[in-house]
Amino acid sequence: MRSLGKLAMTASAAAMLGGCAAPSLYNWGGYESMLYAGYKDPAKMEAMRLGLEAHIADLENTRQKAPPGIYAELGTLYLQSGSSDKAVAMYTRERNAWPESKGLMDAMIRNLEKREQIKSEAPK
Amino acid sequence: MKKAVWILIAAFLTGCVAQPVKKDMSAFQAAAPRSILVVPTVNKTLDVDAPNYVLSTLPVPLAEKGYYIFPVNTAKMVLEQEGLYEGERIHEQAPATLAKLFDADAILYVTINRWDAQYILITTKVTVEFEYRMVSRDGTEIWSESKRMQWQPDSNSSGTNQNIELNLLRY
Repeated sequence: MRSLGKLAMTASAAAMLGGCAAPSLYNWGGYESMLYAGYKDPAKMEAMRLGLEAHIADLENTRQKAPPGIYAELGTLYLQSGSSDKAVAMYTRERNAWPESKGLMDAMIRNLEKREQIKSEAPK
Repeated sequence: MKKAVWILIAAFLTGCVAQPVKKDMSAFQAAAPRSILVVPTVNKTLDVDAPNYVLSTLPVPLAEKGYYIFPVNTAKMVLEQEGLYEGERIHEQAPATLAKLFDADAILYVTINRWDAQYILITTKVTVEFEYRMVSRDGTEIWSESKRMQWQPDSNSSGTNQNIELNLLRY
C-alpha cells in the first residue's frame, strides 16, 4: 500500500513536471495492485474482496464517487466465493451508479436470479 | 521495476507523453464511445505475467479520462462463462458480438509484442511494445497505435523515484 502511494506520487509529480497535471477523477484505493496480486496468486483475491469492501465503505463515509466498475468487481468476488445475493446487490449498485453498465448488469442479475430460483425449486 | 512500467503505461494513456505525430482521430471522434470494454490481452512474449499487468493496469488511466470502463475482472469472468479463456480466442470473436454481449460502445484490444527486462550488471533495462486497437460496436476500427516504451531503473530500489521521473520526461 505504501509503495503504491509512492507510485501515485511519482506519477503525479512526473505528470506535473511534464506540464500536464492530470487531476484524478476517482479514488481507486489500490484497485490495480490488488487485482494484479490476485491474478498472480488467486489466494489473494480474498484480500482484494476485503480491500474493496473497506474502500467502498471509506468512499461512502467521505461521500466520494466510487470509480467505475468497483461495485461490480466486488460483486464478482462475492459471486466467486459463493454469495450470490451479495453479488446481485453489488451489480445493482453498479447499474444504479453507471447507466453505461445497465445492459450487462441487468443480464447478470437476471441470470443469477434465475439460477437461484432453479436452485430453490429443485427437490431437496 | 515493473511498477515503473505501470507508470509508463499510465502516462501514455493519460496523454502525458508528448506525441509528436498527430493522428487522425476522426473515426474515434465520430464513434464517440462512452463505454469501453477492455478484453484480456494477446501475449506474444514469454513473460507469463505481462497480461496480468496490462489488464489490471489499463482500467485506471482510461477511466480517469472519463470513459466507463467495464470492470475487467468481471468481464473476464463473463467471457469465461461464454467459453472464452484465451486472449487469442477472444480477439478472434466478432467485435459486434462481444460489444452486444456487454452493451459496450467500443472494445480495446491489446497485444503485447515485447516485454524484455535486460539485466546488465547493476542496471536493468525494460522494453515493452504494445499494439492497441479500438473497435466500435459496429465493428469499425476507430483507433490503433503501436507503442514502444523503454525504461532504465536505478538498481538501488530506495532511490529510484527520481530516475523514474527523469526517464518519463524523455518520452
